[in-house]
Amino acid sequence: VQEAVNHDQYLVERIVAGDTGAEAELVTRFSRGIGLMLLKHTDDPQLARDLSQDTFVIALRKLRAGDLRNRNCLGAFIRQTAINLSIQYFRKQRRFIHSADGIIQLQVAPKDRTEEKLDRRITRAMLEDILEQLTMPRDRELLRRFYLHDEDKDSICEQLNLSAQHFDRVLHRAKQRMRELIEQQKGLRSLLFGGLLDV
Amino acid sequence: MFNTEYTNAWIDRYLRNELTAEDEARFENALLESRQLQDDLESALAVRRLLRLEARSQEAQEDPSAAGVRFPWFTMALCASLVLAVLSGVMYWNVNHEVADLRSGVDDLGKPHAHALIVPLDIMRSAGQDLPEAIIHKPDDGTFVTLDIELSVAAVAANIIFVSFRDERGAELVAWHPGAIENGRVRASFDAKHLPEGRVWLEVTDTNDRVLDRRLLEFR
Repeated sequence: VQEAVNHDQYLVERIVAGDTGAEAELVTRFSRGIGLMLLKHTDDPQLARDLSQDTFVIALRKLRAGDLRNRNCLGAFIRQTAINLSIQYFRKQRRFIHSADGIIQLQVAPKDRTEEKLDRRITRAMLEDILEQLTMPRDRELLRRFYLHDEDKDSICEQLNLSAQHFDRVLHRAKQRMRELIEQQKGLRSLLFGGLLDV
Repeated sequence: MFNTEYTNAWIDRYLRNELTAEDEARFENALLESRQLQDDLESALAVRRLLRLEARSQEAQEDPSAAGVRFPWFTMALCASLVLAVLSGVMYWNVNHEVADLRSGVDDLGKPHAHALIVPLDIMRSAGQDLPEAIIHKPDDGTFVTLDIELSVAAVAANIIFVSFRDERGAELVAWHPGAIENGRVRASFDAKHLPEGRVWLEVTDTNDRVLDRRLLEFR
């Protein structure tokens, strides 16, 4: 831990001194984690990517100016910058929601147009193919209920007559298989995350 | 806290917003430092997104309008919006020679259009001030181009808006009052030969002529 803290302090010192290599190192180190975090908060890969870029612009500007007092907390500082930006974004959106009639539809989450940019038929075939490779048909209902409809584990187990262990196994296997598919199929990450996590 | 035994449970609770604010912060701070945790979260997010995209794709297939299937009512609606767009244009067309151009545009309505093209103009959040947000390659004359314009939040809130194309010096090329705003978007249809050339500003104003949205486009 001490080694990591020392490394963070050294990285910040280099950024303050104007070392552009250190800035690139900071972006490389944190961009994937920030991207995943923002995707969870926004559910929109394009918006997550925009906010991620803005996060690093703001964070680097502050770091260059020496605004980070506690240099042991570099990760927490980057995270907080990203959180503040996403809060700011959604607050700005909300400001317009109640200002006039007829714009209630703005309350829905930003629409993700990833699938619209690809040919629908090809996309659909690809998605079905991946889903088939991911899990057995009998387990898909479980995944849909848990991840798509946010139903809780106990009620799913009760309704599908499953044990908690079986439930955990299905989820674990699906995620493990997804990991393998992402590694094997180059385009899968782009299809699912719209270029947000492309490496 | 985030050893293998607990990781999966934490990730699922994180994705389902079941963590307290403190635990969420601890989880995200750990996430930024752990490649393993990032891999595990990415897998869970990927499963969730796969299911969502597949469900949306299924909905789109069941909804013919979303799937882009041309039903007669769709064609009729498209023609109606064209007529409305042209008629609205007439109201804002001030110079006589421009009226002549418009007449030729109206004449074209009588001819069948073999090709139709819908160009989505989404808001680019990170676009620079002096770079075009979209470069549109003009198709051959006789092709029917529908611009599907995403509006800014301010423009949607204004409710009654005017849309115009202006050249780089700010001179108005054409202006129109679009039809209904649907899902934060408006549509306008043009024959390809009536689209402007080069860099133009797409400007959205309210009834007091206040600029609500301004975007640089390039037609080639």
